[in-house]
Amino acid sequence: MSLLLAVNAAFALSNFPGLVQDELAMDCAPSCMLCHTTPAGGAGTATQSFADALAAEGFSVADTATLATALAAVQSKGTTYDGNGDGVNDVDELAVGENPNADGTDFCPADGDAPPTLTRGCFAEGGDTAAAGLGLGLAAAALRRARRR
Amino acid sequence: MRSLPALLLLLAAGFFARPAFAYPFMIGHGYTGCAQCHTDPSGGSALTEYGRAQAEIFMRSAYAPSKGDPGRIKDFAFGVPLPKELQLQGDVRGLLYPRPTDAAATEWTVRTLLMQADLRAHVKLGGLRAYGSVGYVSEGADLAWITSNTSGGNVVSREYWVGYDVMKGLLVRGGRLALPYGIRSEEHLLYARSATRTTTNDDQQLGLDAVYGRGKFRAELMGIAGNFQIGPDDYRERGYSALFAYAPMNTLEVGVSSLFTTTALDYEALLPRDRQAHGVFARYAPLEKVRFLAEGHVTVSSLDGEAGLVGSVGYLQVDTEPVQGLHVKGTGEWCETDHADDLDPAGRGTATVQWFFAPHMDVRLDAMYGPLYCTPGVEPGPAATAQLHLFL
Repeated sequence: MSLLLAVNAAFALSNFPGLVQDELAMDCAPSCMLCHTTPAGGAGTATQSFADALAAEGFSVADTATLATALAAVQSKGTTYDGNGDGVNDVDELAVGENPNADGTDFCPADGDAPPTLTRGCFAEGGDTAAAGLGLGLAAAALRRARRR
Repeated sequence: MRSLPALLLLLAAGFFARPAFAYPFMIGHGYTGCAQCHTDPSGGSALTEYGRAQAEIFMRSAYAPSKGDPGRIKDFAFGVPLPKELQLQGDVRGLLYPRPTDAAATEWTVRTLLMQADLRAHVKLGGLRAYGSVGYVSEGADLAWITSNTSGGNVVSREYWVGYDVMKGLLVRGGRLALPYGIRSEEHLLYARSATRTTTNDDQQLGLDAVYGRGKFRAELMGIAGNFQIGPDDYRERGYSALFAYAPMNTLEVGVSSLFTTTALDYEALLPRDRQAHGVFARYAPLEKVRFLAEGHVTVSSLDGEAGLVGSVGYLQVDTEPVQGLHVKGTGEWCETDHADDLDPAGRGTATVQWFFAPHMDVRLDAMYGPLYCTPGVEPGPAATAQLHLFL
């Protein structure tokens, strides 16, 4: 049964780092290691203490809307959720780019070397409209030429 | 073999056989390659007119004796005439996925995904070719997005390229291309595809490519410039992907593949990463209606300059067709990301029934036991999906 939930998660969880970043106004998106035990994430590996905290506060991978409420609930309960035992609430720690789990490096280094946010889509910042436009434009031109013939 | 014309077409196609199929079980009909049926000589793209005819003659269930010529129903949108220089194809593929909404599985819903709604076009003017696809997905296919809606559907473009037939059997092209690696298949969830990032769902990359295929040999080499539908540039992988295959007979093909990429920032690990995959593949049809597909690859992943994690991935699939158009498949897979760790490899068994039940349509049911992705150490469990595919 756990697999069914995990499989469901794997369909769409690639968006979650960005959603967490937006929700907490972080300087960068956390890596998959925030919740997963492997860098590539994946079904069934979301066993970090932070993932457990979110799940305990109602987060469901089937409903992205539960992310915000679960984050708020974790934040409201102080050191009830302190995965690395440093006396700081997990969400408070995450909001400033630190890793709330017992092991692992911080997500948004204070020296400004935080990894840039991954963008997807040709029209997103950092995307490249030229590449897609060139390909589609050439195809369209060839189509027009074929029709004239 | 339902008719003499069909047999002649089949023999002709076998003689000029070239790269792999999106439906690789077609080796059971003597096809070691796919250039006769697909506009992309590597397969998985819009069908040629010949390919459309074969889909009607060989692939779908026949409810009456074949007359050899499928007629206009094989054509675009069930009969729209097009100039011979132009091939158009629409594809719609939906998925039903039953799942529990809570950990206790007290409530269930059926999740629906629009996996594909693509329009694809191929133009060939003399030796010059151009190909492109544009479509819509309700979710997923992140690496092929044109739009950037993180909370819903997106317009996608999976492939676009221009090329030139330099000589008979040799196509040189540039654009966004599916990586030449292993057996090209529409089954993008195979561990061997997802773990090597060589699916046809959204793992295409921009690059330059040369495809050669004559007689018993075929080869493809692609220089990878990166996926320019993600950004910034730190996340783009550069490297190569290549395959070489030999078909000693028209029911057997064996091949090798190799891939290397490097990126300043891997989109999953958020670290510099070098990826390698090297392996072998084979397709064999001891009987016309019994086909075996197999792949085995060694994978190496080096994060942030550290020593590479050596893993492996592969599968064995048997595809039977007890009656024309009805496929019963069994697939066993494994995937290991690091042989040095203590985690059990991911393993999955899948039983599939796929029925090409009507012109341009097929339905597919999969029942699987094991993780959806290459995630060693994950406790296995059951899952099931249903797909409906329509092409115009």
